[in-house]
Amino acid sequence: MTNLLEFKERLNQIYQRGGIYIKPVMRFLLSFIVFSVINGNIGYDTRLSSTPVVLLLSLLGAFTSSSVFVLLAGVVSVLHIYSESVILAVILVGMLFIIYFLLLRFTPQMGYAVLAVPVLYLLNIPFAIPIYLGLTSGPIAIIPLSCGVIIYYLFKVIKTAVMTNGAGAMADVLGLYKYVVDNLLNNKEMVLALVVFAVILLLTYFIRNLSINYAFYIAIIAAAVVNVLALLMGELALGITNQIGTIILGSLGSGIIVFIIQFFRLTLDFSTVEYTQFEDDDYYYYVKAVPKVKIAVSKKDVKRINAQRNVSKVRRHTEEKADEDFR
Amino acid sequence: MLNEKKIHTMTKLAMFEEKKGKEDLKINKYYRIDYIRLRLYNSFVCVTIGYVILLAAVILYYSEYLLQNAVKLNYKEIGAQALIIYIVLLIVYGFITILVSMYSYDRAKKRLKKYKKNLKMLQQFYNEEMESKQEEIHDESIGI
Repeated sequence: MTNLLEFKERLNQIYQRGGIYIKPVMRFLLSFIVFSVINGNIGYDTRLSSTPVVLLLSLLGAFTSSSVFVLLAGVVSVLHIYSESVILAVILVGMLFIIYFLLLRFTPQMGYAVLAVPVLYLLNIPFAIPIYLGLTSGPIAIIPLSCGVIIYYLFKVIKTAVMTNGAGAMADVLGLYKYVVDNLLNNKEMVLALVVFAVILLLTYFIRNLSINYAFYIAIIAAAVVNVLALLMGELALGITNQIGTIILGSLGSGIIVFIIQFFRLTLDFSTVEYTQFEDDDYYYYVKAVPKVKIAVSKKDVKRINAQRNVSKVRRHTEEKADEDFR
Repeated sequence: MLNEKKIHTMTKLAMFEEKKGKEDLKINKYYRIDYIRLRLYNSFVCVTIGYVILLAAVILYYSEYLLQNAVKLNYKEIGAQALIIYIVLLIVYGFITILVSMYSYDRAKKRLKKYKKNLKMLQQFYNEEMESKQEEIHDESIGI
């Protein structure tokens, strides 16, 4: 256990010193993964899927805000579909607009969650998000989560439509449209996913808010277990039996990943060096603020050996404190 | 001469302004009711746009049926239903928007309290500096 904490401490120091460089690199990697996943799945437009374009897009993603990045991912996806079938692209855009204006508009800061759901679905670890959001956010995250699930299934249906539509000729517009809508609204798998996501989110949120030790970790474990159970029950009830093995593994994988993230989260959240500058009448000030590392020191056993008395143990136990000012 | 306390206060203020306080300061420019009104208008526009697209989608979906029965349909009834749904949506979203914007406005005001306290402290420092400078000038003029 101490080794892990030391490791955490070491990472913390590295992050502190290099944080300003590490962040864009991480974001670049993340963007790269996202765009590669999108291209791997609906990469119909070979120009967009080419490596230089992907690298350029990832570079953009690294240095822009998360909302712009989500928008970029959306545009790329639509362009891929557009290269295969104009009608489907129009249908897609229409539905995305409906979802945006009626649902997503109200949680603008959680755009990344909407993008994360489809991407993680394609990586087979979709349930990491509701668990993660249950820990970091709250029930309000149900909105972007549900939107993400709907968008994922929307793309799934459209992908099937592209495949069955063959060479993308100007086929029956209405037929295509009805096909997409029908498959989306009557999609039992999607409804199951929506329900399970909501349940996991709320479950994680409630457990983590209980004032017991290690509430966060218990919440993650409980969520992973409930996840597997709920999916099994749901699939049996609705008669969908595809790929149960992948789903179970995926759920466990999600749980493990969130576990790891949670372990590092509390330190990395507060640890970047911050820069600011200001002036007064006499001086210009250039400030570099380095946060102090306040990390949980594990229980220390201090043995006091006295000639006359027996050995007695004293335990000390310090807790992480976050800085109160302006947090 | 560097006044460390003053620099400390200024640093806190600058960091707040650049990071956490950006949104709060933007919100603070409005009176409460104006902010709520702004968010409400925003929300109405979005709901309207979304509803229009939704209606278009629904009409398109049923277009065959509509074309077949174009003569027999009771347009008044359908129109009334669509309008009622629209109004209900507006009311529901409007209500939620009002609640949420009231909440965020109050939260922003609370966070700004500390900021304002620090501003006052900074003002104090400036006042003290001014006074000591004036004393210096006064002493010099007397010839001490």
